[in-house]
Amino acid sequence: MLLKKLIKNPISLFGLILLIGFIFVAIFAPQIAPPNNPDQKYLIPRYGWGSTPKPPSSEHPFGLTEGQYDIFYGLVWGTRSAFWVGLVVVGVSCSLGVLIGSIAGYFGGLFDNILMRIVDIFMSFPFLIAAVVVTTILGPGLNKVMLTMICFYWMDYARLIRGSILAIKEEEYILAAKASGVKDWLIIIRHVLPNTIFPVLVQASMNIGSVVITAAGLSFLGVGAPVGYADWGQMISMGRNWLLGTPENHLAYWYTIVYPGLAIVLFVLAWNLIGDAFRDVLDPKMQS
Amino acid sequence: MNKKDNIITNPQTEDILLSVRGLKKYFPITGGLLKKHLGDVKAVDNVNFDINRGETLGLVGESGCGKSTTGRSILHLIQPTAGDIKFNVEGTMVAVNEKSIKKLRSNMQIVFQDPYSSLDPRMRIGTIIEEPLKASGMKKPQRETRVVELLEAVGLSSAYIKRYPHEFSGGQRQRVGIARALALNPSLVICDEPVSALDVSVQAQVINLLKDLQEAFGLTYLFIAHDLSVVQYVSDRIAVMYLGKIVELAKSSELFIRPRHPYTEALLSALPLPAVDYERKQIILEGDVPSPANPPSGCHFHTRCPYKEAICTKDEPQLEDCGEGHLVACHFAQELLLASAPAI
Repeated sequence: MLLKKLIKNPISLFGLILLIGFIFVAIFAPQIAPPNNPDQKYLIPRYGWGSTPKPPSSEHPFGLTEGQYDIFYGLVWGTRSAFWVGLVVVGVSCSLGVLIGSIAGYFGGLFDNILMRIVDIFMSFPFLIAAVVVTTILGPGLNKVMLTMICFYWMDYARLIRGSILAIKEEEYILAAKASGVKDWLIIIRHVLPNTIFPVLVQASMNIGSVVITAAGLSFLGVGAPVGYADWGQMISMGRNWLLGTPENHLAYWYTIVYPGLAIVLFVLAWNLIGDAFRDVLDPKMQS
Repeated sequence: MNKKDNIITNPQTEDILLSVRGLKKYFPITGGLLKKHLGDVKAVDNVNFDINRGETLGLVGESGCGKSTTGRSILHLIQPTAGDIKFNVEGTMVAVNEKSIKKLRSNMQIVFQDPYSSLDPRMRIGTIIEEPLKASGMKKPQRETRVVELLEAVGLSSAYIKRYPHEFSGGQRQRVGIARALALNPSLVICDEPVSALDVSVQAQVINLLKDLQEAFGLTYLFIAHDLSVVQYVSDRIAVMYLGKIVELAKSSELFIRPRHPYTEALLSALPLPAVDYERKQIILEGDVPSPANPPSGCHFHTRCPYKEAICTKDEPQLEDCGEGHLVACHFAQELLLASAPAI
């Protein structure tokens, strides 16, 4: 039913195909790019110690980036990192935000005041600086970056769901459920959330893309994944010094930027298109 | 309080289902940084009445006079500020409060005004009607037969069980709302303007349905409405509310023939008549309803009353019996000869 709607629309179909493609790559990464050392699958293999990147060849279809890391291998295994980062960060921060936001919205009063002031406090931190500070304290690493992002991503969801709950809280069907003797937490689960969660889910699916961009940005800044870890942002970071090419040929090292960049763009695009389509599909009034 | 008790209790019938004494609902007005308490909106201000088993008590008044707030306070859907509400459970009057209401829910139910916002748009009709049964702990097979039973009782086909509310018309939705209210076999149903959101032709159907159901299940109604002709048709007794207080309470026929409160007279004179060439005196009340946050001194109605005297601005009249259970809150209830409802 849901899938049928998604397939009907060419734009969401495109997003769906992209996403399925990425899922395929993530699942079959060991077959697509077999690791040399099964214990360290996420470490990109190096083919030499020189710093100058090498163009695509039959052995290395996307070329070798700075430090002779294999770009193709990094992209394939980076897909797994991207899904891991995106799904975990959005999943955890969204659940946390929905929990806090729905308590604040439904019960109101003092709860609302305290929780929303906490949201304000978290929102007043500039994210990048907070991320740098946290990783300085905890040490760099992908998991720590994810923890930082969870800490500073839940507020949007909390605000979003609180707003929608405030709007529907006074609806008579909520009162009717109360009059029928339904318990508060059941009212939240059965009536309040189903009628308010969809904007949040749309937001979440779109955020999976932007979380991956942010993680890539942090890796680029050097506070994310360790050097050599299969992560798209990390790979762009490696290509940074070769962005301008040689004085004779400015496009000499294009492959160090274009391939990882393309991976990020397509990944984000897929989630955005899916998010857009979700919004249209998940409304019972549009199911005729 | 004791003296009033005797007056309000209808002496002919002993079988009181619900008694409401001194019901108040104040909404605090706060302002400033420290949420200082600046005053109260007295939405319901000292309301007293009884409902007898099997009767329909109409509650009328203009928008914002506290009718709906009264109904919702009785069910504790909003917490009343003060008041003594008692409900008859198998012969004993049980106090309705925050604790006892959980057990009493199955005895009193409500039908809401807006059939569009009173049904969860993401739930199927069957699930909506099933919900109170589920909350009461009924087993699944019994629930399913009960839902079908209820749908048929309100005149809907059981084939609709799997449909969503938006697939129905306003009248059908209101029937679903009624079925939900009846699910737990309540003895009292508070009808909170159940037909005012519907087309006139559908209004009649729903009202007749409510009357049929009352007969079939021995229901007692508190029927809240602003349309006097609707209330006259369904009610045994009618209470007229103005600015959070009941100003007149009488038998339906008596109220229409012999109103004793000037406000009731004005309401009756505004009844539309199905006649073209009918000359009549319509009482146009001057000004607006005063703010319930700052009600006038003395009689709340004195700012708009055509029969106002000096005493009305000072003393607040109490609801008193002026014969045969006809209760009026007016200093001149006995003296004034007010016009009855226009009849052709």
